[in-house]
Amino acid sequence: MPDSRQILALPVVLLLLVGAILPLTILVVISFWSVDFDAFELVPGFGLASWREILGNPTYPYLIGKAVLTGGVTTSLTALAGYPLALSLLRLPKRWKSVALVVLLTPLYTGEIVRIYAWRLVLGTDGLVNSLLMGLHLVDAPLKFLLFSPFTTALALFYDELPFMTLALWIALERLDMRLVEAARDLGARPLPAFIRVTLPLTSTGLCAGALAVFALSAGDMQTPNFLGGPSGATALASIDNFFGTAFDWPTASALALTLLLTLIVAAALLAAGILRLGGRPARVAR
Amino acid sequence: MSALLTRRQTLASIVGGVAAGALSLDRAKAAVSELVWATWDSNAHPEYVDPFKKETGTAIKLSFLSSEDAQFAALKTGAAKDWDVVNPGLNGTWRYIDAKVLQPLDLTKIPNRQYMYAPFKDTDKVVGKDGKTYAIPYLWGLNPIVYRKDKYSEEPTYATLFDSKYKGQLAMRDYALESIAVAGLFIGVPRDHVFTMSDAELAEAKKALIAQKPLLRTYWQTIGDLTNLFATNEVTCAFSWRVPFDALRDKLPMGMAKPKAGIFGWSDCFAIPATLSDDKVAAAHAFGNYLLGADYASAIAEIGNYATSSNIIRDKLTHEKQEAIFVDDLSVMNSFMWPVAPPNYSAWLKIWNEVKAA
Amino acid sequence: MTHREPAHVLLSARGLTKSYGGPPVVDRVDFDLGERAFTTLLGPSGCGKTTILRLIGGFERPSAGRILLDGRPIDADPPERRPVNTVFQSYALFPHMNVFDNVAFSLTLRSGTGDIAAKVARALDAVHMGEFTNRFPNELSGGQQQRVAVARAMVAEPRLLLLDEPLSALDRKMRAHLQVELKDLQRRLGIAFVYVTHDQEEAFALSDIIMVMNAGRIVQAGAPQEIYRRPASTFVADFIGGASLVSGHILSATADRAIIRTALGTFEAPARPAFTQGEPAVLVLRPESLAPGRVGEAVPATVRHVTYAGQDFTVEAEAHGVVLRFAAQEAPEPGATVPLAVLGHKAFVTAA
Repeated sequence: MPDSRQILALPVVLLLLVGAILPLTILVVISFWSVDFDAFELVPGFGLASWREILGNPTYPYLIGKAVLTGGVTTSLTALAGYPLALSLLRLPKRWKSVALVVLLTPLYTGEIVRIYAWRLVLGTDGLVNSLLMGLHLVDAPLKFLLFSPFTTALALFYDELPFMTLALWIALERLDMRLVEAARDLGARPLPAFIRVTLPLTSTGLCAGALAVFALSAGDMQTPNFLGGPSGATALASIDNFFGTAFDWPTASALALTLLLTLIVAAALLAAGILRLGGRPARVAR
Repeated sequence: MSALLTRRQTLASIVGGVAAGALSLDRAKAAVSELVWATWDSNAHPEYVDPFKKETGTAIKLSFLSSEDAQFAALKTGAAKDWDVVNPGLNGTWRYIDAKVLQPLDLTKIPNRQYMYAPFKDTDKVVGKDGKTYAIPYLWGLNPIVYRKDKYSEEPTYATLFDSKYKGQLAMRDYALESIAVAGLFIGVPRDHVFTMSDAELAEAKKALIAQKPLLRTYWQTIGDLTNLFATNEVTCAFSWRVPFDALRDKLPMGMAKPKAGIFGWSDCFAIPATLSDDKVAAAHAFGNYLLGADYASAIAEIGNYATSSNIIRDKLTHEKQEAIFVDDLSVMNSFMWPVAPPNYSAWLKIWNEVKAA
Repeated sequence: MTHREPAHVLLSARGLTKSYGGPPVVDRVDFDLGERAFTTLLGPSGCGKTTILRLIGGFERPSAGRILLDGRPIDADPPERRPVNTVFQSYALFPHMNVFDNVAFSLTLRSGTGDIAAKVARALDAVHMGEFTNRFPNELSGGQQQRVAVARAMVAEPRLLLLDEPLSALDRKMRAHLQVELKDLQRRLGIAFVYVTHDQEEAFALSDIIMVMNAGRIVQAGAPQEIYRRPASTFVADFIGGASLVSGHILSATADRAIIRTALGTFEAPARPAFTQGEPAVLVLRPESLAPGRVGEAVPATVRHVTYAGQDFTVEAEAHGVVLRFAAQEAPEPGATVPLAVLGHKAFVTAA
């Protein structure tokens, strides 16, 4: 029987249902329609042309796979860097923690476009890094791959999403009884095995929360690849934007959007399930 | 952002002041005290329209558009009741005419038409199936290749954008319509046929674009983006708008090229909504005539670096200014091509997606 | 330090000091732990006893001084490289592992540990937890968790087992029961235990050696009877509990006895250290040093409080401004005056 607190959640649940399910239903319906490009009008009906285009043309599975890969790589990198970072934040004296929190979140306040142009200043042909490398005579010509390459996209996404991962891990680590880690060391585990067998499983819910946020944000990012990825910056989202906005091809856009969404949800669910399995035991009620 | 707001606020107060002046001084003379002109903000600085109020007593109140589609939608749904003069793009005028949201113009009330350059005066894009003229192109520009004069010994053409000699310094716009059309011109499709390319020609263009990819530094997203790319030496030649040229010419040796193969032009039209009340129609025609006249042309050439479709002041301009607004060599008009959405636009989009993902 | 020198020293501390920026938590401590000894660090909370345990375990680095194992310094060794295991306060069992996996943890980290299942089973049987291998820690009672924690530490075959207040979270009955088990286990294993507690009864029940700590220092180390009977300071006497402290000054003294004059009278009692005449000192009176009802050299005392203690009554009475505690078979009325004899040979004189 739902208690009163669950009833309080009802309006939000309804809002989410209406806000998520209604547009999705519309997308599903439209994906079977066609477009009269002379009249610029959607023609209701049941056709599979747009689905055939999205699933049959290797371009779109490739772009969707790229989104999953981008999300996976960014999630892995932020987790690898987030744990050491969060562990060092954990050891800070209390008054420095609030300072660290503000510093950690500062990049989020700057806005994506500002960060994108900042990356250009840092990584560009005449940018900070290349000037430094040239000045130190470490390279003869500017390193072009630093900007407008998959490397740039990965780096910028890593930087953009790192605070989300670090924050989630930090909170999880604050709740972890550090004596458990000491116990593992005491019983003969070197730092890495102690981390893998105790810290990681016991912070897996935090890792899962961070991973889901980072995965969604990076797999669903359009601007960073667009502005920093150069010729490699194509995304499924930009294609959707093109179909919807420029070409008035709503059925194809809908089919692509639905396929992307479904794939990302499945990928995120697998990711979450995999991470939560690290936690080991299934949830059991204490006696 | 704040600069824009300030400018708009200033604009509003100036326009307000102008309107107040008209009321107090010229009330008797003016049949219509005010016209609302829906247009782009770059087409309508207060300096551009002040003389019209002095001549006729009718003040011009500005209503800035957010997009072509929004303008069309507002007219179509009747949400634009307060607009007295509107601003359809030349390439999309047919849509407005077909939708019957414009009224036919009385050309005898617009004597300045006589000064119009032929390609604008004779265009059939503004003529309805009934043979009547519904709009008049008054302002135009073109999308050149912008390049660094110090990096190219001769003026670039579209072929330059596909030349491996310049690998890593080229940029194309991330926009299917223009980029595929440029590829079409590069592979030799005639400019009057580019937007109706055959499937075979499209496939050919796609091949060229995929081969071009490794040569590109990046695809540019916004004109500010491209300006930044030029300013930071990432790009030395790009299919562009004129903005980077104007923004950087003082700091860098910038050049603009107008390839003979075909020049992407744009043009804004003057038109009157079908619903405009009769008492304002005469004043609206007078304003259309003003847009083709000397005052508007001088002001917008001076401040905005745009040319009107009227040659009325061309010969009085310095050669430098003529060059800046592309009227130094009128043969440019022989290469004009007006981008239109291809009938198979969705297929173009799919090709563009494939190129980007290749 | 005057405690017994153990036959073979397993672990020593020399000048061991730990501070976190403020005053030292552990302050220039020296001690030696014997090969098979049950040693208890006893002291009030905050005295530094747990810190010493953490220094031995390797979870803290000394600010100064050294720890030696078999005469070799081990300060640079991380916890996993010390032949020392810890039973943590509140046990620190891995909540995501069942009992078996908790106990097997140390075995799975090394190769060549033989039959893990057999070793785990043996360790769990030793603590009577053989039935619970599949349970998770949150499905166990406090006492059961404690046993698993001991088994987990034991199975790693340490040379020294550290126990940080392992029974403090348990009820009295369970505590008494587990004390016996722990002592028994230590004898069977034949390894050294270092036990931290603030409970002097527990310390007395378990220890071969008690090290009493105060403010980061070991103030007395020795066998339990030694600590009880001959407290080296008023702090020890007071902390061990039940004692009445009466200040006075020395009339005359030999190496281990002294005559002390106090407000209650003049008494001869065993003494340490060697006092000189006229020196201020404190007479430590245990309940057994006071006998109610004796006539003769008795002091009249006014009864303040009477507490029922099961076997007898604990009486708090005041004589000449000194509060005295003693045991009585029958409860006197509060306010009544009772005669109280001071048995000098069962008292002790310690430094003021």
